[in-house]
Amino acid sequence: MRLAAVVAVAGLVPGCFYTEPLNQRPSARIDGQPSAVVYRGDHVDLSAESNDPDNDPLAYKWRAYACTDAQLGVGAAGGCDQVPYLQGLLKTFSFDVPRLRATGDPAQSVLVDLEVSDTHEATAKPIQQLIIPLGDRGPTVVASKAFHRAYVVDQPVNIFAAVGDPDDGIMPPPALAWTVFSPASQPAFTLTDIANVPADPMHPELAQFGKVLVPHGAGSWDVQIVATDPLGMTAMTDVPIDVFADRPPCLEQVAPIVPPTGQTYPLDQATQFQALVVDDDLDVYPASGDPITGLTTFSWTILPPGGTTRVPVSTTNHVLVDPASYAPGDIVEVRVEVNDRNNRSLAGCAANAPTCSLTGDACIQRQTWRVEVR
Amino acid sequence: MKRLALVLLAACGAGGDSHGIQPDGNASNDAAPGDGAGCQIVPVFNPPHPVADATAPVRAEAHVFGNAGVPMFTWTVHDPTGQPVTLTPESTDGSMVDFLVPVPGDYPVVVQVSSGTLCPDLTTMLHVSQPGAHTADYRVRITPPSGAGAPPQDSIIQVMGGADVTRDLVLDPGLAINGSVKNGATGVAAYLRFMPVSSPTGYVEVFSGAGGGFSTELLGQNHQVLVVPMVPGLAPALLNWTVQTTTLDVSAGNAIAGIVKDGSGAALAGAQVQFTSNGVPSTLATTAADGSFTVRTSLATSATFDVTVAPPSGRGLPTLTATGAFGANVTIQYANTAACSLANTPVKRGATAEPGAAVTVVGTLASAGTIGGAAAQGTVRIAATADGTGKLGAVLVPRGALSAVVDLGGGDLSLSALDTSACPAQTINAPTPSVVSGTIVDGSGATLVGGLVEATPVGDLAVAGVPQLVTLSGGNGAYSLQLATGGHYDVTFSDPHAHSAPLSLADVTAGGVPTTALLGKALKLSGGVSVIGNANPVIGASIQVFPLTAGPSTRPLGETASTQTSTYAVGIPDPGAM
Repeated sequence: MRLAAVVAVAGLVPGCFYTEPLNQRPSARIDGQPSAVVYRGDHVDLSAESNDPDNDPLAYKWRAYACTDAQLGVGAAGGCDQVPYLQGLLKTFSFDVPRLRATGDPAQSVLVDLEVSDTHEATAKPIQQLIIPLGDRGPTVVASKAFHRAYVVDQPVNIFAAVGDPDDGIMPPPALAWTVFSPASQPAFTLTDIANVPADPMHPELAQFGKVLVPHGAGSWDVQIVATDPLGMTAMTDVPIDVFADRPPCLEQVAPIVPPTGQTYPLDQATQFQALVVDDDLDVYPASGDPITGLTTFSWTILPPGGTTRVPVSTTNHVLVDPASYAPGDIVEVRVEVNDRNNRSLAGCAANAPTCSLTGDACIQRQTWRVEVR
Repeated sequence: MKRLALVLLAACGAGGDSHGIQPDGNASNDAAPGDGAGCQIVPVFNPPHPVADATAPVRAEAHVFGNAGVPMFTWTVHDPTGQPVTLTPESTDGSMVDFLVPVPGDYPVVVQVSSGTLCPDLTTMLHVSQPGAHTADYRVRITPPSGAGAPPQDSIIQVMGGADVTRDLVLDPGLAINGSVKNGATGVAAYLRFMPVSSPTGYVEVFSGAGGGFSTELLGQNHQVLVVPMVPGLAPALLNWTVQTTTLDVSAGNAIAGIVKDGSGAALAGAQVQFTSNGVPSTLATTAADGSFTVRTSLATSATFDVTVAPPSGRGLPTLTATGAFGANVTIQYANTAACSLANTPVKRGATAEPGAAVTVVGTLASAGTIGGAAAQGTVRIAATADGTGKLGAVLVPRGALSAVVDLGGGDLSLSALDTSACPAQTINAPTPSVVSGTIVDGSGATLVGGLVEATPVGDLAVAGVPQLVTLSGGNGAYSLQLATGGHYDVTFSDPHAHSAPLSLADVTAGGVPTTALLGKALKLSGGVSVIGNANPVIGASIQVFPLTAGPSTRPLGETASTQTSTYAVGIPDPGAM
């Protein structure tokens, strides 16, 4: 256009021919292309490497588009958003890689256009384009189970999973799939949600979920948790749980001292007979801090002097035996039996046996003191 | 150091740590600072016993001994909830900082020092009291499991009210003791009760075998040992024991002979006679057909004894007791009062006969005979059972103002007066039990579900052998107790999880049991459990907290067991604050 005007003017002016120098378009390219894999949320710094033969001032116009497949171009189905999510007018162009396209789909590539023009509106050709393929950081998942003294058949086990995704975030969190692998005998189980597990204030980037597993059989259980992000990347963890059948409680410590076979304990003062410590997988004494652990049940009896029937005297962990309630020389048997919520029968032990072990070992559920009142 | 039953590294209200806290609230090491034992940090707090205050800071200053170079200090302080505390440096090298202690409790303090010498970090606990806090002393009894490498031991701790308390329980490993009980050269099977001189109620019991040998663990301090031989003819004895003692000698001791006569002056055969002095019993003797007896005592026969004579059953006689110095020959004489027969005495509730009712006649008679010429008190405990018509058989009882405890089964107990002074024909009335209902409220003011109510009979009911009553509060904290009308009980309301302090009522009747049982506030006493010189954890040790004056019949105020990680936590009554 400008050239035609110059020629026309030159033809009308004899003896004087002046031509304005032809303006040349600038050239440009994009510098700073990332050499490493770029992930959503990463920061990218680009700059324009440009040159104008006429040394005209240059103008820059950057446009960044979030895309699924940037090769398909802007506006195409499966391509890039119609509208750039960021534009720039400086020689440099910095941006955070978007997590999502305008459609809400995860961004999988970014298309960057750079248009450079001089003051004569000559534009570098072709328009520079940079396609940044985006990697996908997979989700993270960490799981744990509530700590108990033991994991017992039919007793609930709380399992928690903390899930995150560095590039997709947790709004919404990655999808979780919980799979229970039961022991070979394939006992039944239930797996139910724990509602509204609070986030860890120290790790707000993680979402917490929980489930309650109630295993109805003994053996090695495994709860597999798979987290999947919107692009299908997965992370997996598992929580092994060795589940045992309930075992009988064990009298660990008693007071006073138990006399050896054939001997008697000399009761010369009012004395608390006590089960000081009972160990069990479910019901212990004294109380533990575990909310699913209960308290041992106790049954104290006394066989009075010359008696044949034991008299129940206490259902706590102790009974006070006072020699003032007897005569010197009286022989009294004080007995404690312990049980847990499964209320086992000690009928298999002879009634006159001073101790009873349902497991035939050092774990006893009955202790008897033969006492001589002094 | 060995004499300490228990090293509590945080006495007198200051918290504890592995370095120990002196009663002035400042930490120290066993080795004296600067004695060449290596680099040591010693913090000093001012005030040493701070009280919670939102405006007045506590100044902490660290002194370093045994280092080379210029030390630089880094402090970390957390409040009782675990939140970091803001520190204000008060010296250029950081050796001095100020911080506020607005809430009571234990503040963990860590001091790190960088210098030319490697200096171990110091971790200590600064206990901050509630303003106006009361103090209370408790006896803590630790019974480690066998194999833990330490004997049972007691210690006294002082607790300030209003804030949880951290105390590490560091157990004295004591000494492994092997010894024997002998009569001359002959080994003797015996019961042994080793009572530390410093805390006699924190005793250790053991039986010696047939050959007299025994093994146990004891604190390395002097003990008194009650030895009760299990073989006839040898007198129980109270002996002194030191770490050098290997043999405990017992013998037949001294003989005290005598005769027991009934009210008519006839010999009483089959009575049990025992003498006891200062907790040391004699042998037991049963009177022969001529009423004679001989007991053996390790004490001089001139000593003052409590004498107990239990009559043979069926004679309608009380048990006689008297205290005095009776010498080596004692005549025991029952009062010349004919017994009263309860034959055909009906047992009724209202107008209804009670067949099969179990009746125990109990009571105390001020003068039921003489022992060595001194008046003897009589204690009556005689059982009878009603027949199918609800009448008692020909059971003899002493004459006097007595009581009848009637057990109709299923916890249906009653107590009624039974005056046999004139031995009239009379009816034993079994009043309807008193049902006490109420609510247990915990230390925070909420109703307590699963609260424990224990009613332990005292007085006549205890003499009759009535068992303890136990119940748990229901879903709304409600409890219900069925007590013998007119009977006396010690009643305790408690939280099995020890989040509140127990409420104990001594010697009350049904009318004295509160319908709203308010438990006191509790504070948490917690820390680690370890044995000096032993890196193994102490798992399953029984830890009981008692009032200071507790005896063997006293229930603990709180109890727990040490965990798999060798820690403990127990609720104890909060002494509170003004």
